[in-house]
Amino acid sequence: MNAVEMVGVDKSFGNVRALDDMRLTVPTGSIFGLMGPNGAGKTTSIKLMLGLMEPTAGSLTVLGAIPSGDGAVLRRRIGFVPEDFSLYLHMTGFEILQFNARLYGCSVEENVRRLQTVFELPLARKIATYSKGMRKLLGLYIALSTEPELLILDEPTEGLDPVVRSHFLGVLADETARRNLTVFFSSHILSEVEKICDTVAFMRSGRTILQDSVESIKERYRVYTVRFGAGHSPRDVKDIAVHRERALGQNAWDIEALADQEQARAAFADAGGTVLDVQSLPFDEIFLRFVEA
Amino acid sequence: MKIIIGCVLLSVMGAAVSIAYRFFEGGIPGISQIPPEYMDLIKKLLPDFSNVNAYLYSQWFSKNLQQVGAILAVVLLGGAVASERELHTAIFLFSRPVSRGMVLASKVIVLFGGLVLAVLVSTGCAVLGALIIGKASQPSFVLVATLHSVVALLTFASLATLLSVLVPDRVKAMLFSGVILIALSVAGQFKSLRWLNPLALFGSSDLIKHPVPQLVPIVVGVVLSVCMLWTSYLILQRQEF
Repeated sequence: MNAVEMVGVDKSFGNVRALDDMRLTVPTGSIFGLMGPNGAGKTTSIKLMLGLMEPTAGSLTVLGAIPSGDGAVLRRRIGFVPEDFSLYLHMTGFEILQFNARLYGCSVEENVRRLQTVFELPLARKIATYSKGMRKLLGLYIALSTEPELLILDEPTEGLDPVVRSHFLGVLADETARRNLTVFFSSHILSEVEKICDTVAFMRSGRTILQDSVESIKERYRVYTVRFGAGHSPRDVKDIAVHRERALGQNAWDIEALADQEQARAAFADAGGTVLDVQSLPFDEIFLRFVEA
Repeated sequence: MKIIIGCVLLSVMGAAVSIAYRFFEGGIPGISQIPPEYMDLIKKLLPDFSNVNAYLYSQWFSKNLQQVGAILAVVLLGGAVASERELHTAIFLFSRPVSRGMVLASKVIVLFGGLVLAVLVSTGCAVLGALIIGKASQPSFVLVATLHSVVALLTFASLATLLSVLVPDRVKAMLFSGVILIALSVAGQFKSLRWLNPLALFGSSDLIKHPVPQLVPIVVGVVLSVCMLWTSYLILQRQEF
């Protein structure tokens, strides 16, 4: 069973279509990154997963349950760190952990003791005295303290300095290594996603445009310099999806495609082309290619 | 903190209202010099000084407790849900494994309880004040008047709860609640629309004559409260965060 399955999900706010035939599959036990520009629909997707909104159409299951129907029961298995949120500033760090634990119906003393060696937050102080970075870390602390099966993070390191960001990601990596935790996080900080995610999905204008493992995307997305014979052009290439083409002159082209190299070479050869050079692109460049298309 | 402040304020008022009766039970000095054409209007505005029950009812239960209590109800419940949205804690709270109905119910129970406590404590202080000045009000009368006041204030609180769910800004929710209550009170000054006036509905002068629970205001108050709370629940269920 996949941790999250979205099939054909639409979400509209009046005339604005936030999600349009959104499809997503998050494998259980993976660290999944959802990437996209601002306004792509990442936060909307997350809110649908938590049952904070209902889809206009389509099918969505999280941990095998429907979020809008079984919301409260399902959320007991989920830890969530929102992007832009506030905690109860009059509470201390410890009080909010206890408050959260009561809502989850569990005891967190043991987890707090363990996590405190990792987070090292001043839990006796009021949250109002915490810095922004400390509050974000507290958000993750709260989410992890109840041992969720699925951890959902919405732009978790946005606005954090590099030191705190590194600490945050380190804690995340340690927790996923410690137990079979599925992590879903949305981000547009590509370096983070590339560093810790197994699988990513690129999102644009409310839909997924690509979903695959990071390694596969990096391995398979190549820039081929191809010279075509007389009367041939990139339009003759079949069997692979050409993502971008750029004429170099003298019937030579730079063609970008996401495909196995052997399959790509065969496709170019069938189209009357000869591959002169193959180059890889950095992950952030690949991402930009897809979202700017 | 708001409940404590409300309690203290109302208690001080209750005691002061009762103790003030000593100075007014013989009549207000100089009142006989008021021209007769203004006397009727003055009599309507003044409390009934004929006996301590009448005075307590016409001043404490019908005016002070309902008016100040209405402000307390609006301040307490106006921010019940609206404050969560305004302070951005809503997404944290509603993403926890607790149903929206449970969140609303727990806030309503605690805040309604606080309001009832404020009514009971302050009315106790009013009774104590009466005892201090050597006047003893009838227990049955006080109990029935308190029941009416509790129903009245819980109805006002239910209105504030509904506005708190509808309006994502606690100050606006409180203001709208207050405006509605004032508008109804003003409209109710006209004879044909008297039934609209919430203060008249729950502060009927019949109570002074017969300290027996008046069915109409209690039933209307309970039904209105249930309807408004149920509507709040339905709206909250459908809201998106």
